[in-house]
Amino acid sequence: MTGISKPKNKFGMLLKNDFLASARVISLFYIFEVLVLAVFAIGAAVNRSDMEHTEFVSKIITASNVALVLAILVAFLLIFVTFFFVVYDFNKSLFSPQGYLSFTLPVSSNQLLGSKMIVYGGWMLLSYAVFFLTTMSLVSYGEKYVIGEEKVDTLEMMLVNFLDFPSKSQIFAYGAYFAVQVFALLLTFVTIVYFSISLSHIRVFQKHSMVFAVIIFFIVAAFATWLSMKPSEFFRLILQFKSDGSVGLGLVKPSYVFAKGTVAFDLNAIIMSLLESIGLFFATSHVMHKRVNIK
Amino acid sequence: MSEIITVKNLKKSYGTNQVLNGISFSLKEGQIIGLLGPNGCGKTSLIKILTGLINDYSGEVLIDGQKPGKTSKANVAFLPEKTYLPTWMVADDAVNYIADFYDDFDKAKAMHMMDVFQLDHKQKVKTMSKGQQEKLQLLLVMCRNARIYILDEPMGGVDPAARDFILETILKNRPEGSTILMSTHLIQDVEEIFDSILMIRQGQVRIQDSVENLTKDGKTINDLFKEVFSVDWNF
Repeated sequence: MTGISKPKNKFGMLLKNDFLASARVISLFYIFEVLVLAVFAIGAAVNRSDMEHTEFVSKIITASNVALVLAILVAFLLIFVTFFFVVYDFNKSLFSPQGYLSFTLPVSSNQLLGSKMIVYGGWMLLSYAVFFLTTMSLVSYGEKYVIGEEKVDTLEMMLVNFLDFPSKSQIFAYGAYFAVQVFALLLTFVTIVYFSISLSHIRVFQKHSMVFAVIIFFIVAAFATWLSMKPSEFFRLILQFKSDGSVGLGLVKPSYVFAKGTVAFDLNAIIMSLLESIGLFFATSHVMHKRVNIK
Repeated sequence: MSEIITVKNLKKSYGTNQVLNGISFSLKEGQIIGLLGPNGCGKTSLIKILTGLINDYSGEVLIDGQKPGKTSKANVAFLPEKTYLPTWMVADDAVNYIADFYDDFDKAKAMHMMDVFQLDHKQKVKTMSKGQQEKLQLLLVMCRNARIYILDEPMGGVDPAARDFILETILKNRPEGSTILMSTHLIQDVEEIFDSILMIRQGQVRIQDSVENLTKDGKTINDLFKEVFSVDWNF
């Protein structure tokens, strides 16, 4: 026998296998969503064309309208299905007898956790994006062709009317800010879920792990929310898009009032969310490595 | 023969229950070692520590000079008592999964052994019988060219014919010079394959010696086990 050999980095394999394990179920919903959208698109194309409205054409249009509702419902359902898998897979693959396989792989706890965060965080982000895009495009289509309003860019109209944004670049900046905020919140949410599940599998809580996971989740989530808001009592870190097109980063008092035409994004919550996620990631990894008891 | 596993003053407790009480021993490379002891003596905790499943302990544990971790896990093939494969996997998925993570895994041999074991490559783990699942797990472990094999009750809960099959598979497929640490209650069935014995009682080493020394006065390991542990059952 030769000496003990150093293992290669297997993080890529973790990502691959976590993706395959999750995709086998989650992808079915996406395939269904694509099929529903295809039915809708066919009906929409027929509706827009100059085709004579025969009985068959009417059926296609009806199917398309049903598909429209179904597409939004499936997109909504996807968020819950993905969340279910975030919880189910993490619990099953690490803390059931499968843990004997996962925890004896030549990888670190950080890698085990990191892989699940990337894969399931990615799925969650995708589910939100699909829901948002499906809803926005279908509402936009509905306005244009079903309700019969003039051609309008719904998103732009909403932002201009309700948020009083003066330029398209500021609308884009708001979109980017919104996306980052959703990403940060999702990241915190997933790390709280993973931390709660991991902590509920230490010996003290193990007997009623599900109950303790829920209790721990709400306690940590409440604390994280309180912590996220705390800095805003003292200062606000702001990203400003001024009316002259310039962009600036600055610290202001909570009561500060911005000049008209300036779009300002509060970064406190995003930064706190990211810091909480990092803290929870390492806390979870520590619990997984040192405290968890695989039965 | 060099020492492949070294344990010094290892202590592990669950609350007030001390399961390993300052245990110390070392195991020589290339041997088949029987890890014996009654239920609750600390065998499973010891195995979990050696395989990196438990990390909160005190004392020193070295696997070929390394603490249990990524490196040791890459060099230890572990067969737990439990059925641990994801139930949605088919047999081929399980082989591919192990091949992805262990560079010492012989995939071609695993595919061949699946045919020998009459396992359907496309059958889901969920629909396999317990015997088929155990066969699959055994082949996944024994198709690795590992330096150390840690087998926790590999013959627990199987019929005598299956025991012979499991033993034969282990002995046939064990790479030359590798070390096997096997915990079992079925001492009579396997004692002839052991080179040495590590008996644990109440979290401490009770006996550690070669089978040759232990059996030179005509006693079997099974007799010795009864002698050592019968005290726990006398009132």
